[in-house]
Amino acid sequence: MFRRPNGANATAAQGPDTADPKKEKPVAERPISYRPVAPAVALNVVPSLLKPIRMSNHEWPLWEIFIRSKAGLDHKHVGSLHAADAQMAIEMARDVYTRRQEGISIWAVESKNIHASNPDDAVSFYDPSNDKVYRHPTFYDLPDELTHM
Amino acid sequence: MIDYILHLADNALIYGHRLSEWCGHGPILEVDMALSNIALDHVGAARSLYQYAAEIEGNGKTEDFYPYFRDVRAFRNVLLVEQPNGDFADTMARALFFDTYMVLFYTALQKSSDARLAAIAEKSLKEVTYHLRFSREWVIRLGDGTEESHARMQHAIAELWPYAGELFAPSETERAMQAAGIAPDIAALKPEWERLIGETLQEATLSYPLQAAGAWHHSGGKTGVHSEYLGFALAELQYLQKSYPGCAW
Repeated sequence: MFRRPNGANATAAQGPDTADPKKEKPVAERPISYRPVAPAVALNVVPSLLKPIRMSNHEWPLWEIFIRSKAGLDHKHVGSLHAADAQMAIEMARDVYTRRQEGISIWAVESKNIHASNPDDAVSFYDPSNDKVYRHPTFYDLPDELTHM
Repeated sequence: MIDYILHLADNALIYGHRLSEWCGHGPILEVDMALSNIALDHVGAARSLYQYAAEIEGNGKTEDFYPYFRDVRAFRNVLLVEQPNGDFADTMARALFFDTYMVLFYTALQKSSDARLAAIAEKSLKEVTYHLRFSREWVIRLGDGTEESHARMQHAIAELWPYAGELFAPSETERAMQAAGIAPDIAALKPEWERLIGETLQEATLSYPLQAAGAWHHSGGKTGVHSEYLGFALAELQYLQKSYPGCAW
C-alpha cells in the first residue's frame, strides 16, 4: 500500500502510469470494481448510473511530497502519493502526511520530474572519494595561532 | 439548553459516524484517510458537546450516555446527516451542503452568549473550513469531470437537496436559544448558503436543482422524527454498549 519514496523505485512503482501503452491490456480485461450501494439508495438511482465504475486511480500520476516541519528548517521528503493534479496532491498530502502535526508547509513535485542517479553507477560515482582524505578540512594541521575554526 | 447542545452534538456524531463508514472503503487510499480524518473531527466536536451536556445535567451522567444509551427518538440530528453514504458523489453532495452550513453556523455561533459553545465553535470552525475546501473541490472535480461523474454528481445534488432545508428551519428549542442569545439566527444563514452553493455548482458546471424554487423540504430530525436509516446506524454504533453495558477497554 505504501509506496517507496526514492526516485528509482518511484518510477518503477508507477506501473500503469509509465507502462508502454502498446502493452496495456484491453479495457475489457482490466479488473473492474463495483461500488457498494445501499439497497435503499439503489432503488432511487437512475438505472443507467448503476453501471460498474472502472477504478481509474492508477492513471493518476505519482507525486513526491516534501514537508517543512518548522519555520527555518528545510523541506524534507516524506513519501509519495497519487493525485490528479498539484492541488489535489497538496490536499491529499495534508491528510496523509501532516495529520500528526508534522508540518507547516507542503511541496509536491510530480515524480516524473525527479531525475535520480543510477545505482549501477555507484562504483564510479562514489568509490573514488574513499581514499581522498585531503578533501576533508580535518586532514590539514592548522597553525596554533588560528582560533575559532 | 440540553436539548440544544444535544442537537449540535448529534449532528456531529451521526455525520462523523456516516463518514467513518468509508474507512477502508474509500476510492483511493488518500481519500480514505481524508474522510476518516474528517469523521474524527466531527466525533471530536461531538465529544466536547456531550461532555458539556453531561456537566450541565449532572446526576453522574457521562459523555458516553448520550451516544450509546439513547433511543432513536431522542436523537436531535437533522435528517441530512443520517442519509446513507450512497456513492462517492452522494457523500460529496451531502458534505458540500453540510460543510457549507457548518462554516456559516460556527462562524455565527462564535458570538454566542454561552462562552463554552463559543469556544467549541471557534475550534470547530478551523476544521470545517478544511472540510468545505475538500468537499467543494470534489464536487467541482466530479461535476466538471467526465460525462459519468457529471451525471452522478448532478443526480446526488438533486437527491439530497430536499434535506438541506431543515438546516435553516429553527425548532422550538432553537428559537428559545436564539431569544436567549445562545443560538444564532439560522434562518438568516440561508441566503448566504444558497449563494455559496450556487457558486460551487456553477463552477462545477452543475445546474441548480429545480426543487430549489419550492419551499418544501424534509423535516423532523430536530424533534426526533427520523428517517428509517438512523435506527440502523444506531444499531451498529450502540451494539457493544447495549450488549455489554459499561464495557471499557
